[in-house]
Amino acid sequence: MNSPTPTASDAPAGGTDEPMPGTPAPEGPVPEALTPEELAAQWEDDAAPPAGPVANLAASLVALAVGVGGIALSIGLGLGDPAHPKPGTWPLIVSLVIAVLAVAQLVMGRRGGRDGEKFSHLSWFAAIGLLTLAGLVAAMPVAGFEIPAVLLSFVWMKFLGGESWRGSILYSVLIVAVFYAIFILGLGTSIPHLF
Amino acid sequence: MDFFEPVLNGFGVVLDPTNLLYCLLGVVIGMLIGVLPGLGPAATIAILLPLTYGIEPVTAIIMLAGIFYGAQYGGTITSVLLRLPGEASSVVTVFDGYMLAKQGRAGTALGIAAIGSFVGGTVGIIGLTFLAPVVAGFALDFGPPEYTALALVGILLVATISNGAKVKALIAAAFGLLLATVGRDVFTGAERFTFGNINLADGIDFVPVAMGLFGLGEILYNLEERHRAAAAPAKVANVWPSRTDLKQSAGAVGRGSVLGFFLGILPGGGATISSMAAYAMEKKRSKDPSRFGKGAIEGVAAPETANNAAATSSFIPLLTLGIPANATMALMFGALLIQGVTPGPQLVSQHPDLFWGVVNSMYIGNILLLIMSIPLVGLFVRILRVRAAILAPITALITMLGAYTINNSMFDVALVVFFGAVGYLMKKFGFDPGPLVLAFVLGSLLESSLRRSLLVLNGDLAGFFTRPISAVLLVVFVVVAIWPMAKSGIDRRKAAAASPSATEHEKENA
Repeated sequence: MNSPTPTASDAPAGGTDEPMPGTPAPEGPVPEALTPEELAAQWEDDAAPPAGPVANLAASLVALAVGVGGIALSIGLGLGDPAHPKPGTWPLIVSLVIAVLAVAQLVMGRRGGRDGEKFSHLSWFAAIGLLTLAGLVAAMPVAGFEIPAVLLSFVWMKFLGGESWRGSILYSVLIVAVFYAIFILGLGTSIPHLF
Repeated sequence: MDFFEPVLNGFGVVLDPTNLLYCLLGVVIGMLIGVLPGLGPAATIAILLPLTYGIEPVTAIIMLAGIFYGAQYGGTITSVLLRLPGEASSVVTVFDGYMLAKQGRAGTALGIAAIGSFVGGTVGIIGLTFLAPVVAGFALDFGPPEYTALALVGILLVATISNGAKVKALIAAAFGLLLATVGRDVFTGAERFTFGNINLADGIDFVPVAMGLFGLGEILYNLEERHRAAAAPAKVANVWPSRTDLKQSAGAVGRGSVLGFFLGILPGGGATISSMAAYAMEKKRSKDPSRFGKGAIEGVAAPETANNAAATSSFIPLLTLGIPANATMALMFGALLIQGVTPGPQLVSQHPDLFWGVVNSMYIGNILLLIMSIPLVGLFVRILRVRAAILAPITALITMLGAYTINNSMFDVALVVFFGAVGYLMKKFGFDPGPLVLAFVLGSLLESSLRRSLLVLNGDLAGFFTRPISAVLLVVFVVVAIWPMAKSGIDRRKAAAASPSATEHEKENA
């Protein structure tokens, strides 16, 4: 069962064209005088649904794993005693706290809660964004920053942002050119570059 | 006489052309990102941290501080003109500010917000000027046990007052402490959690963590949001509030500054809470509360004054005790560490030109904001038309390129990407990244204080309680830790007692 995508109110009919001076744009379906309570309710409707119990379980388990792993590694570093602390003392205390809190969260949050956000089909955008960034890190030492940056910028504008082909290509090249001018020519940094 | 000398020297520091320039740069950038939805002051400060490497500590903090309180001004503009809060601390301004704009009084709203912000900021600075040396003098009695207790209290307060699940915030904080242990142990030289990676041998650098968690994490998160096309904004006609407006809001401004000042000092408090509290207070004490939400001028004056007062006073714990009160202050803390300045009670005495330079820069910065805010409104509104789709790759690339310049190392850039993913996931799963960064910057100091304390006390943990200051702090720690559970227990009992009568009422009314 897919989580329902948050219903965004329709974009107001005014759009982003030149505003007529003196006349506020028509508001679309939104009524004029919303009380703070109504406005807050509208925002809450637009917001993403909370993460839910499964997410809570997953997150708590990850935290628990970190805590337990930390405890194991700390013991390996040596514990000592209060008068003679060793490298492992402090990490043990912290890892223990993490593990205990993780169990607490597992129990307390088992019915879900109001925090976090569910993943939606829009979350793929963030995943793609992350992939392009990882690609940039991999490609930069080999090919310089210019071409990977143009590609990243193009993907973000065209596919993640819905810009036109021409606009995306144009703006991407322009932006990277400006960065070249600032970082390489202006500041003289040693970022790997091709040109 | 002796008191004013460092203050005056501080003005000398500020009026240095480089510092003035960076102050101006900071407040303009701050206003800009306050206007633009998406990136907040914390994210921007994180992304611009690499810039601070090449400049003096004073200059760096002056600029970063300018970004912070400048953003409080900027967020108002979109709240009033577009009913879109630019910053979390400007959410409350939307209610009355936008109504005023619809009534053709956008200029009044913006003007009163600017004046209120200026007054709030100034009150905050005056408080900082007088309070800070007092607190710092008192804190000179601090030894390692006191530092340990103070750091613990600070982390706990920020975690418990954060939005979202408290336990998750504490987990995030504890994780930050664990991250701080990666690398070489200062006391014994042993390598911890490096897994053989040379890059980790010196520990994880603060800047990539901050840039990733706050900067890239926010950018990735914003990719999910479909930004609606902004409606054409209301026109800004009358630029200045009338005398009646000023008189009507005077009380709100006064009360807002005081409330904002005190709420800002509290760890975990800050601009957002202050703005909401000030609005609620004005509405409650008003003779006609129904005016609020329909264009009451106090509904703009109070929150705007409070958020600027809070933004300024939140510097106090950082500059006097070395304890960051919120995530943005944790970033400032990190920025100072990069510069080789360790914030703490000795900051006022050891680096007086830094301290007074920063404080006095706030006076100048506030004046600059007041002068620039109204004329620049038109420009900012036009900038809002730049679509988020264009801004997103720009900010992402600035972050990546900037990260490389820290140490000329791709590893740092990779760290930024990694922590960007972590930051994004934390947001989705409900973990506040603020406590993590805070605990991370305090982590190594906390551990070294703890180990030093154990050496001083010879392993006798009771020693923490026999020393007066650390005893008080630890009691505060315990109270703050237990309070939420106690409170929910009391609330549940109250609800159980009330519900039989409540359900009876419902049955009657049904």
